[in-house]
Amino acid sequence: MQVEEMLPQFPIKEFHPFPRALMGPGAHELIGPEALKLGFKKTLVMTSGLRGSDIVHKIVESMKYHGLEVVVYDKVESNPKDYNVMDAVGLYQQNNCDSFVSIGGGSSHDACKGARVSVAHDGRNVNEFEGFNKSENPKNPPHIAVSTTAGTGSETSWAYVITDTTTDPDNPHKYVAFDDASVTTLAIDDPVLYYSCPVDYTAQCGFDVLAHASEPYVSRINFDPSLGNALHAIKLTNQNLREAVWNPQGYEGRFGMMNAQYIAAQAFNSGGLGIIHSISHAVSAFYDTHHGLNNAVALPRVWAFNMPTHYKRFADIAQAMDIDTHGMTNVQAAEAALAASIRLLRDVGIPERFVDVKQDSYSKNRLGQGPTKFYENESIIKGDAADVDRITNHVLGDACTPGNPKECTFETVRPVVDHCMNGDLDDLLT
Amino acid sequence: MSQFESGSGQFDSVDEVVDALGEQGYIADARLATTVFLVNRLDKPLLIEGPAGVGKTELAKALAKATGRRLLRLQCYEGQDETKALYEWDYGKQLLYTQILREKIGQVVADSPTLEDAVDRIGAQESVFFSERFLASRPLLEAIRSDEPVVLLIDEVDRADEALEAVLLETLAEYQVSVPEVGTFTTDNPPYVVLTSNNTRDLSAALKRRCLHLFLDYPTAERELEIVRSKKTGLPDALAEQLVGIVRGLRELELRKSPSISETIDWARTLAVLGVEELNATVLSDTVSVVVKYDKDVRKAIGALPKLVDPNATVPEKGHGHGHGHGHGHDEEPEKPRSTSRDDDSEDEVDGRAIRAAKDTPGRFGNTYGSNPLGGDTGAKAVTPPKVPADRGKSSFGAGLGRRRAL
Repeated sequence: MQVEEMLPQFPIKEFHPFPRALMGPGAHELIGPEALKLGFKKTLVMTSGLRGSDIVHKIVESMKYHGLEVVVYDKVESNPKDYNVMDAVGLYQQNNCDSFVSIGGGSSHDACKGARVSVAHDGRNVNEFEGFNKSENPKNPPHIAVSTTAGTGSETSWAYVITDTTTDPDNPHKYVAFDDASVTTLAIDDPVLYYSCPVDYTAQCGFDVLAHASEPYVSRINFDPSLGNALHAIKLTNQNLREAVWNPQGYEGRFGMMNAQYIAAQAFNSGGLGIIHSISHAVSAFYDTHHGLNNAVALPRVWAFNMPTHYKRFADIAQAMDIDTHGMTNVQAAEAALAASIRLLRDVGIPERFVDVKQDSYSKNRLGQGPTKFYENESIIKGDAADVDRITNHVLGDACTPGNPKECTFETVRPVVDHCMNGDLDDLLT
Repeated sequence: MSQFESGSGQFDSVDEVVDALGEQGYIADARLATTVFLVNRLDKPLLIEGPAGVGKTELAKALAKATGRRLLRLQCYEGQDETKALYEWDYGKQLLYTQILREKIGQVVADSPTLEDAVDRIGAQESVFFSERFLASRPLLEAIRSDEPVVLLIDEVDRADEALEAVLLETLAEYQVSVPEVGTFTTDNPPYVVLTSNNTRDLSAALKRRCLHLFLDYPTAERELEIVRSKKTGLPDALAEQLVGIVRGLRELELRKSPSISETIDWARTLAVLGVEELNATVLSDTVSVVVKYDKDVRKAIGALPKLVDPNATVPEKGHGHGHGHGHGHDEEPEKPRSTSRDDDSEDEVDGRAIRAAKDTPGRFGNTYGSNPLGGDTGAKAVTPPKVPADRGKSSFGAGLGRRRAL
């Protein structure tokens, strides 16, 4: 046993400061003046299109009204692919743009952050920046992110997730890049824009928030400055998610989730993540399913997996989830928190295991009609031994895995993945 | 135009208007000429609206020359008051005269017994100082008082305030100006009045009602070409024709300020001076600032010029790091986006599968989160995670599921 191995695994913590943020109803109308203030002249707007809502149109028109030139790239796919990013970079360079605006959820923001980093390096392939702070040129173009979903937190985090479909087309890889250079210049969170977010996405995004908030609370990397954020985000999610899902035109739930997602992203910025995200990225890599949905399925299993390392922390989470823990031991409280998370998942109507996720499980699902040949052949989630093996391997190589409180090896993680695929959630309830 | 030598004649027909303006170098189309003809016959003011640089002001000048009349110009601006438009008392002159006449005034009031009496006597002479002699005429009054008939050009009336518009209304309705101290000036030869507006604000309905209205837009290609020709720019005819087409293309770009006719002429002159023999994108880009005056517009115009010069031109793409790596090494549909392979060809030989497989290695991010505080640029050292026997893996999850745990 070497001395340095005996030292704590992450001796020096990093706290990642916020970008400036404008939050509240009507904030999106400030984009024009704010962009002018940041010196925008010609802007590339990146979005998934948000077809069926007029959000992109309204914001683009508002920007034009303020005298900005706007080029729109609206082909960002869900789980943004590397070619989305590079196409946007090409468009940016052809049009001599000088700034970015992303409108949408995590996909739009992440693709945009990747494109910024690529543009700052003269269009180098975005896949080269996987990992931690790989960017070498901090001078990247300014970026305003406008969120239309309450979940991603990408408008305020230093992480972006891209799917590499070109290095090995038969084995796509969804990787996280943590990069201080990718932090947006200005985040705009406006609950008004959430109203048209479909019910299923609202629910799944809510579980993304819960994963963002709970993982840093128990991770190896966390430290005091981010703990308060984590707990408060859990509290807000527990209070508002059902309301946001089942009363989507109500202001309270939408506003609560807006705050929850922002605070949760601040928490994981400095507190790191764990294998809820690793599993989620792996499943998205192979099946192109919604990130929030994957998080929701993985969350109870990973909580159960990590619980023995941190009963006290999970007891805190139980309190944050409005459970009366008076008279309970930490173990009982932790299990009550797990039960509450499963209850929340069932309340908002999310499938309980991956093999139950079908073509009609959520809107705009592209199982079996994905963007490349690879995804066309993956029309149902198999969940067999080979599938579990490749997902487990993907999990082990993920940048979120080192933060997980419990040691992750192939042997320990595989049962968790297997249970996410095929297991019954009732197994976890005592 | 003999009947105009006195400045009082009238046009006989619309064609005559076209000819008369044409002689002054102003190419008028039928609609415009008809309107001018009506102005000439009906003695109504003419309000011309339209974008900057389509020849609104020029029309007034040409009309003045064609009819042999003097041109009076009132240039409107924000905050202008009636003293600048109608008349004001020439205070300096009045003061000067009183200084010079001090002795005379002294004599007039010398034997007045009281101060009051002296003031009365001066008051009786007041009209001497408030007479036409001391009246400084501004264009509106000048147009009314002039012995010769004139052309009154009220330029950019939309920049003036509503207050001045009211003054204009009064003047234009009656062709008379009241000066309280002197009386009312009327005219026997009503002036031709031409008002121009760039539509920066809506003019009052009352003003529009009193005027003949003409909306002057950018001319047709033929007319613009004719105008360029008539200005003897020195540019060969074929090039002029091409240039007019290019300018019309620029006007469709939604620029902040579209090129005006006069700027087209300037451009033609510029190119002629440079001795250009064929119009290509390069020479046009170098001189485009003659017609486009805003930084952003210039960038827009330069981007659009190659296509305007030759619609079939292929614009050379700006290099962007991965221009040539299109879809090799994996089969995608034709409309599939470009591959993101690296720029240098040697990279194409690298086996993607090996790179990809290496990314499933546990511990490859080492033991730091964020930048490595010790490793500098070298990145974190990968750590080897401990080996765990398979049976311990099983017990780490799933062993106690569903059974009540010991508390």
